[in-house]
Amino acid sequence: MHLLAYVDPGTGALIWQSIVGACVGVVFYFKTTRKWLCGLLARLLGRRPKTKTAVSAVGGKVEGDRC
Amino acid sequence: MEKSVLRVVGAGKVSEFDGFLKTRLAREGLESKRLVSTRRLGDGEVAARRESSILEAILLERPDGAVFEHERIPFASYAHEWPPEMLWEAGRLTLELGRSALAEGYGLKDATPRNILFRGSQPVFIDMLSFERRDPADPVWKPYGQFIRTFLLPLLANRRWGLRLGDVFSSRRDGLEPEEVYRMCGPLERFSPGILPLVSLPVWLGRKAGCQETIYQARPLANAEKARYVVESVFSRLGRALRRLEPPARGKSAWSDYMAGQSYEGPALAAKERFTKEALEQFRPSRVLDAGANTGHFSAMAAQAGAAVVAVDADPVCVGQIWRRARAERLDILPLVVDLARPSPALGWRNRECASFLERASRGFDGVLMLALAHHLLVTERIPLEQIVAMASQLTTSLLLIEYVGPEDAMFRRLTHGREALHAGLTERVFSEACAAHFEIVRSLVLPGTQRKMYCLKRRGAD
Repeated sequence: MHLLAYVDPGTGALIWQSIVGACVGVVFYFKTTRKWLCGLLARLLGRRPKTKTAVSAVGGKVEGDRC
Repeated sequence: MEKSVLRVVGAGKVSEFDGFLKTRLAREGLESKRLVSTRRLGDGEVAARRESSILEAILLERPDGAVFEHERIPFASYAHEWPPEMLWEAGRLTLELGRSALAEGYGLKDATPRNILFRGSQPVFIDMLSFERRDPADPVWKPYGQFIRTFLLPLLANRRWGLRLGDVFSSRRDGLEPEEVYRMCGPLERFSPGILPLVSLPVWLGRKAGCQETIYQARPLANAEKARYVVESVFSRLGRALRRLEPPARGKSAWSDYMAGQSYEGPALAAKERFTKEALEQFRPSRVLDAGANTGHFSAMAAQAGAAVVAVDADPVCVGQIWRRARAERLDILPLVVDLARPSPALGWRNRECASFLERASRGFDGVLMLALAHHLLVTERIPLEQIVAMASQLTTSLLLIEYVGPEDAMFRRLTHGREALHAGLTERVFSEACAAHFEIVRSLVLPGTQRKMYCLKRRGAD
């Protein structure tokens, strides 16, 4: 199935987006793992884990949980 | 002209579109007017409108389609007429809507300035069918490349090399290709932080990839949360790139300091302002074109008098200043980069995609200001006076405020560059006679201490 049937994705731009996306995916993996570990630690120590902060519409960072 | 625009949505897309209109993004966007007003017509309303032959023809092709009504934005404009500030703002709105749509399970299927019109100084997203349901496992934002080509690269080229947006968009439908910008860069420049991710890397990767079709195949992720995280990061990066390309507030050009300097002493300017204000109060135009608006001093006056103003000037820096002021003071002014000596032509396939400026402006205003403009058209552009007045009569249905600048005026002499003999015959009488061919002279005023005279004219045949 072709992904992009409407706008011209720009071959190089699409590849670059995919490469960066793969790297960001690795970051997501580590953030998820850290979040899981923090949650486990908090449960073991009898504390409530903290929650995520909000994301702004243009350029804001997603802040993950902090132990 | 009809006050609304009708859109027929095919049966296959109606439920998706209806679903989008129920989302929080759509409700808030419609309320804040960032999205063009949209309303589905009932069967009775559709039946009443079917007298229109165009609607009838479309509904015959799409018998199960639904009809939606949008407001008509008063004056359509295009990216080739926008100053960089307005392109930037259109890009900001595009990213904001694209990102907000993710939370609702929707996405934008394209990201181009053609999705945006301006209501005064406010961008309005008009192509509502650009929103579509997205695959939650899809980690790619499809219009990423188009956003870079049509927003970021033109802004970058304008900022770095002074490439005018009019030159970009009047000859290219889809913005600047990275290859084009790559060729504009020097060898070291291609490695700079602003150029590398937007230009150089896509060019190198694109050349290496060649024509492999596998690149375009979908690669959904197993984890939808991860896919969302990746797409959000795309918007974050594009947002940062856009912020770095924000046009500077204090741009300078040949004409950006005109009002602060040169051609008017205090009493002359005050007299001109008073004359203009009195004419606006007498005629109360609802739609004003300020031709040769410079930094919008008189555009603001017309807007404060209650008119919806379109302000045009050939200088993008001046037009950008008008836009900033209109935004800051909430004035109903749409500023556009248009050189009246060669106004925007009709563009696109068969010259029908973008109407020419004169086609959109013709008889579209009940008040036109041509203050300190006619002598520029006469001297620099060598347009005959009769043609200038004829064009003014094409633009306005009623009021024309026009300023006569005599050959003895300092600015006039500056423009002639030794060609004074060409304009030796220009006198107030000649100017008045040229105006009288199309207009009645309501009143006039010589500006004190100058060779300039203001004319308040009413188009012959106007109510």
